[in-house]
Amino acid sequence: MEQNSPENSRDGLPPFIKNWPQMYAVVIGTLFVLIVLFYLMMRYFS
Amino acid sequence: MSFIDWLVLIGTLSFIVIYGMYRSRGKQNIEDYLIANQSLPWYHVCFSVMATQASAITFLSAPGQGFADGMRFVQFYFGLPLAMVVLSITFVPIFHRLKVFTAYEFLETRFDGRVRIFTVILFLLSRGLSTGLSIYAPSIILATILGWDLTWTNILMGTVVLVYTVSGGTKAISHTHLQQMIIVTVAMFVAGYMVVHLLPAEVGFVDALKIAGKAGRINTIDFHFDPNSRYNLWSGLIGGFFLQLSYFGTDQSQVGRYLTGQSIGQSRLGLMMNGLLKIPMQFLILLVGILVFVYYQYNPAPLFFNQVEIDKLKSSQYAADYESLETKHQRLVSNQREAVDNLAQALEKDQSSEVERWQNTINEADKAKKELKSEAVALIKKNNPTADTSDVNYVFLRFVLDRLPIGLIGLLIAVIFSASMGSIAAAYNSLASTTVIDIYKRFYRKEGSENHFLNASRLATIGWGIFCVIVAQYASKLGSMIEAVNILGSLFYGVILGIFLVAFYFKKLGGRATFWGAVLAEIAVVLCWWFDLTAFLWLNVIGCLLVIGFAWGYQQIMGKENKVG
Repeated sequence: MEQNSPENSRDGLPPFIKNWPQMYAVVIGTLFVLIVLFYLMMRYFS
Repeated sequence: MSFIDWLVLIGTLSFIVIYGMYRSRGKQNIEDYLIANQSLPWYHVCFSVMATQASAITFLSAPGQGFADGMRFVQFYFGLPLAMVVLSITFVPIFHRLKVFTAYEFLETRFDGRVRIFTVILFLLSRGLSTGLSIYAPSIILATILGWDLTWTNILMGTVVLVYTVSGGTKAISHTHLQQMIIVTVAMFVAGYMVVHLLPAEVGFVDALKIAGKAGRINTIDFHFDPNSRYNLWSGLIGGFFLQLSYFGTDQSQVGRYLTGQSIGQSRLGLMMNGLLKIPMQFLILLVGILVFVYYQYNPAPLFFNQVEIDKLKSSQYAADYESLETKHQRLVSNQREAVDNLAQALEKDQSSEVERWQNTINEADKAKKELKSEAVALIKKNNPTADTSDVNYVFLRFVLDRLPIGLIGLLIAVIFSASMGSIAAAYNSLASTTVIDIYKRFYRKEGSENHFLNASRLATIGWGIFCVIVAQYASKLGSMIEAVNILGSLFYGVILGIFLVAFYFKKLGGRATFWGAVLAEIAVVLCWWFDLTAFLWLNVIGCLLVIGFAWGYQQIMGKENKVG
């Protein structure tokens, strides 16, 4: 990947995230966690 | 509404509009007017994107969906975070680098003018029609509160938004979006708190969830793969992904929002935060809906929530028939109240057989209530064949007006209005920018002064405003509005997305193949919908894949064109 490609730029990234692929992983990981939590919630209350 | 509610409503809306116009004051050029000179930080992008998607429909229909159908609608949004990631990797850098005003300019660079204009027509058609629905949504509130005619309320709603959209352009829209989202978030939390507060003293938040769960309303996840089921995990993840990717990646009302970001990184972060916040936000709105459902287990609920239609029925020849249905309904409600009390006690004592017994009683009463409602709907239809027979959109509104304290009613109505204004404003702006950049400037007036195109954009905004108000006049026949908007989007979005995916990822496919691929795919999608072959979310997947397949097939048969991207 080129050094100046948007994936390597830190512009816009929160301080605790190193690069954009890591940011994407956080978003997809959060989706997975939400699905699990919703499922557990449904099981518990139904 | 009381005087204080009117004061809160007018004060909140005036503050939002005046603040937006104040922040966008000064001399403008076409770049300022259409993409805010690409000067806005990530949080503006994020809230603007969220406010554009979250219209009044979100705050009227979604709690009603939660009330009537439970929380399964939340699955519709599961594809959104995935779409945000794909957008950030592919669409955002390309649009920023090409410095485009609209997404469709890119298609001419990649293919030819024919593909660009075909996509523009699909966009203008779908966005123009769905914006009409977005105007209709808050108009029914005014009609219910003031007893006004829908024609005048549609005109009023459509015109108020025009004032600041025409004068302030994208900057005014973005600044008002920020205020709108803050007010909306605070007000929905207060509404949720108030519903729990209005429940009997012995019923807390967790007890309310247990009751809702036993009544089948906490149906958040459905793992079954069924192409005809509207909401399940797979339709949400796959169909939702294609719909959201198409909406955010190719609908100018959204592209125009993240093109305002001051850099690729700022636009990306705005989209990523949308990916993180959207599902919890939608979950909380549905949660308010199921809390309202629990509230009406302890309190008398109307048989039909649209009071305007009930009043018409009560003054008709069917008044006695309706009274009889209402009496039966009240009997059911009081029986159900007893069953809910017993269920709550059984849950507290952890008596599983008793829980099951009262759960069945509640579900049977629920079924009987639905049957009574069908009979009431039949009467409404007999009395007024053009009546709006779906009351999903009225549930939350009725609760707000009947049960919330003075002041809060005004605030909640302001939320519904301001959310609606946000999405309508972004739609007007996108329809105008597409008309001016992709049609007027492309085909009629290639050269002209900044002022000329600025005035053309303002005129186009006014023209689309009038068109959308006319569409709003015919919107009352479409049942749940949130579903109507999504079905309408699904008819076009898949094909538009297919065109963009060919542009980005299939470099060997040319303009002619893509154009005919898209035309055939659109015909196929409309046929699938017409013959009801699948649930609407899958139309996005079908449309998108068919464009790619047909374009590839066309090129194989007809041979390669000279000009490819």
